[in-house]
Amino acid sequence: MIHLPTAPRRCDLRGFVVALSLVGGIALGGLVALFGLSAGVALMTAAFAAAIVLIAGFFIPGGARRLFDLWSRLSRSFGRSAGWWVTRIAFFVVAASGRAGSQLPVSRPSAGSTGWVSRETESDVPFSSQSMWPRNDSESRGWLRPLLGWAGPSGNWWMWALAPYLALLSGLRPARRSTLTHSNYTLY
Amino acid sequence: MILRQTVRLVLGLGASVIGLVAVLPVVALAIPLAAVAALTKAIGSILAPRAVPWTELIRFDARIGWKPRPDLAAVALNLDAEGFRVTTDDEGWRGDHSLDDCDVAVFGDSFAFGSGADDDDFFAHQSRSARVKAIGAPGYNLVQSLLLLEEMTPRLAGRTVVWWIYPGNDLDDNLLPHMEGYRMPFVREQDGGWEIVADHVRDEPWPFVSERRNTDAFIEICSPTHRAGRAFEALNYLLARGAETCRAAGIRLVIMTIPDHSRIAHKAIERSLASNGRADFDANRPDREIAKACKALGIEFVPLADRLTAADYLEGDVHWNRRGHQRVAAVLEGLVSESARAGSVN
Repeated sequence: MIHLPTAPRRCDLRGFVVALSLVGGIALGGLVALFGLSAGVALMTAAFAAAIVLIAGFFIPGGARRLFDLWSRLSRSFGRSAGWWVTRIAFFVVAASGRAGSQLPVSRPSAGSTGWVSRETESDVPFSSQSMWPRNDSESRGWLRPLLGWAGPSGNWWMWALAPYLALLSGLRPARRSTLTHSNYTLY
Repeated sequence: MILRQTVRLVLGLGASVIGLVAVLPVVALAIPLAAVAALTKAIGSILAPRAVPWTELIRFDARIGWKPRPDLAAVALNLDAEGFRVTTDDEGWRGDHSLDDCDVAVFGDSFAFGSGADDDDFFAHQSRSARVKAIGAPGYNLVQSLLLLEEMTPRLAGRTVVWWIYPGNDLDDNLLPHMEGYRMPFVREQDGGWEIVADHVRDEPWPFVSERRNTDAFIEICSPTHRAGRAFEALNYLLARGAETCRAAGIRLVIMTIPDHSRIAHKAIERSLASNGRADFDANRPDREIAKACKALGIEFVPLADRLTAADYLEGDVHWNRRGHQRVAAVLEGLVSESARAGSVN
């Protein structure tokens, strides 16, 4: 969500320069307006900021690539720090929900015995309809909807409280590199 | 049970509301980053070149496996997924001049095809004082180039033919019956000699497809291995056959080797050497062996290793950029003026 492509093409670099000039212009113009300056000054500031980015990206050799790399580093380090923070908030939600106690009969085993129980069911692969866990083989189908769909029927409504943080964490995480299919052919 | 679930939900929602306050600064800071990333993706996809896949740029050829399509005017993608404009003549080759009115015909693989180079940047179009024709397609091995040379010999009499060898994959490809499933002519050892095999070339995929590992093959060929011995023996056979063909037709033959100074190739070799630990790797070995073979056969040899640098290669591709094509065009012009001085041009 916040990360730029890992191997940018020329079109990605151009797109980035235009995107940064737009967002930068709007952000700076908005800030100026927040400080109570007139709309004209805010507009001028926005245009000036956008122009600076466009010049740096399109007219300075290697400028687009340097800006891109800088922004990539910024988003990566922000993603790491913000991920650390959001993970702790998610743990806090889990811990708070856990205060209601477990529905599993958990008790300390007596001396010399164990709390582990042997698995008596078959593999859940042929019995996926009976499994308590949502099955989603394709990442591209998304995970949020199946998770929320599973939460209600399984009695885990509290998962709805956790879901926004999980969604935010997934947005802060860098996209996984897609693997090439075996049929890719370049004639190189 | 229901009561516990409800209590858990209430506790979770309460914690979630507190958490939302704590997470607000993160969301506020993430918005511009997310906006830039989303807009970059959207604008980038609008600006992305509408390129045609390789399968539409080439056609099956029963003799040599494949050829570029004739009268092509399309955008192709290089290894870095960048688009480049390609135009071919009515025979499928790049270059403004026809084979019949050129000074120099360059035979080779993707370098001769000009992979990654727009028509304006292509070496054949950058030559001012020499009329250059390029006869090449991505993936060609030297066997395919030789077969084309032999086929075109009557049209090349009295001219200069430059035969490009890219040790990065040509030497190994000469020994293989297919390139990633595309059948191609190759050489094999038979009764103590070598011969070209082409009777397997059909428009069906080769059934035993193996992964193409250029870097590993190059490292083996640059080391004292059995594979290297076979590759250089096969090369000697092809060079001798090419030299004989050109001599008989009154063609000046020049062998040029193409170094791989590209950043991505260097990185790949370093990585591979670090993992397999070959201490006897010698990147200059192909040039030395080819120079020796050319000397023995009386062929002119021009290594491009000293004429090109890393700055002449594309960023994420092993092929040349505009500057690389310019430099190569200058070398070809030099050859033509040499020929003119020697009075050997038609």
